[in-house]
Amino acid sequence: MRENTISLTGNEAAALAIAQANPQLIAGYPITPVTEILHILSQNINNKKMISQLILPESEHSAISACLGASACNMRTATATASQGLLLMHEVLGVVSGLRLPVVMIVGNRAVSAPLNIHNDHSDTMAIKDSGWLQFYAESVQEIYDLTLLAFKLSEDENINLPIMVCMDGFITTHELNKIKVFDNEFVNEYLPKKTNKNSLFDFDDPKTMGHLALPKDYQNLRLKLEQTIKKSKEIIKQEFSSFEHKMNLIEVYNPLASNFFVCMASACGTIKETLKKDSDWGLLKISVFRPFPNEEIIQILKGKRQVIVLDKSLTLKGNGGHLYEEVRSALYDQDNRPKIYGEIYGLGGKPFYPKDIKKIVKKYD
Amino acid sequence: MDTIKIIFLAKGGEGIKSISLKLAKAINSTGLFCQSFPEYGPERSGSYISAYLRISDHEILSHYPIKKPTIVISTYELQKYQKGVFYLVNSNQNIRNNNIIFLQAKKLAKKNNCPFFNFVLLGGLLTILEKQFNLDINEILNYFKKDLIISKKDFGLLSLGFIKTKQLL
Repeated sequence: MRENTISLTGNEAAALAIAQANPQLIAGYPITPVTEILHILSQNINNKKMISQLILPESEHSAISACLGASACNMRTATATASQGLLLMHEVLGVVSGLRLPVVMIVGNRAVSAPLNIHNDHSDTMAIKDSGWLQFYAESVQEIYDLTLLAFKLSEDENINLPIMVCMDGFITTHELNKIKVFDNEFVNEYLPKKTNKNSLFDFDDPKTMGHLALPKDYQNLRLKLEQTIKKSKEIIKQEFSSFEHKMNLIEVYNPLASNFFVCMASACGTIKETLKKDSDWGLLKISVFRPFPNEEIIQILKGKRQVIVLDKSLTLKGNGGHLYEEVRSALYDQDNRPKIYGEIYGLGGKPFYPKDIKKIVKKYD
Repeated sequence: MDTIKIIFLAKGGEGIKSISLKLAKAINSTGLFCQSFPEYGPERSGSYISAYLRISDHEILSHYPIKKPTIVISTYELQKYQKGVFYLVNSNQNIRNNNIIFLQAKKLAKKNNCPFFNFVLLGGLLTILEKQFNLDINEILNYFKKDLIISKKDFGLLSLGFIKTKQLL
């Protein structure tokens, strides 16, 4: 394996990983803050560095529909979107996961309207968190690259066969340039599964139909099976993450012996790590895989702790704080020695999250 | 080393994001770590924008905009200058006032038939990094030359800014 250290922005890192995965079809409707991904891929195709087909249809709804069709024909497919674009895709997202079709989507997390805002929070991906797509959240440019490659590998795993979103913070990690380690094309080519015609709609030796009607006697069973598959995918993801060259985990723990913990996702985790001192009584549990939700792993780390502050970049808009707060609270509910759990909202619509904000929360709960 | 934190201030289209990214790439090609990111809204060209750059000898994990800079590079004169911060400001005069260097960057570029003066400021910044913060800039300059990430013309402008700022320091 050859590895190079280069400087890339988050968008460039995602585009590089997609280019190395060389999907047969890329369909997307350019949207801030991930427009650059489609620019780069379009240039690559134009310069014959990739042999993918790039479709720029009239909307995000059509883009994800094109991915659906291509994936049903067993083509490797990718797309990129954000915010309103992702919401416009919503109807088709459930069809992709329900049909168990692997598609990789890069999301540059961005606030949703109204009011109009092009900056970062997690409102877009949280709005579709239960659409049957697996969701990975990247803290850094390095993780954007790694998680994109892992997403291609895992979505096409025959025991998973599900679409995956790789989420990066819009205008934060999408536009940040940093030093990262990337693999050469040969390594990625060997790492990712070879595409075959197996189970394809175009396998004329084994003809089949897709998207047919499921009457009441079948529908519930099929949906329960989908949920079981998502649940079981956790172990496969865990194994793949730990055997990956740049080792990863479903969760990452900083200051494990601390009695007070932050729970957080994506780029803010880096700022928290740099703000908390090594010997502090405050730790961090970073969630890299939000779907499937790592319930057991969270319980293992947080049970018996004094208190947990869950930091959310999205609101449920039902007076209950943020989405991650609800998930963590639910995971710990049955534990006898569960900690006190509080929720804090930060960074909506791109509001910067400074070390002083972290220190303020520590002071409030200390 | 203490992390060097740089803020670039400009109007969209003046190429400040571009020089920030190029400098970060060059610094990353040495043994150091460098992070660069811009801050702007949907309006882009002509509106006020910022770019941020952190230089360190260890991995940079933070992702928030810089509030307490070590150096500020600006394409326009500012109303306030903070104490303890090093400034390089495009101006109508070449003069040093304590930690503030006013440089005729635009005029220098125009003299060389170039409407853009971002590389003159980059040259000035390299002087400050070398003289005030003891950064070895030879590898950075070699990277610019060897990897051709900046054109010969831009390198000429960078050299002008470098020399002029050195005189003012």
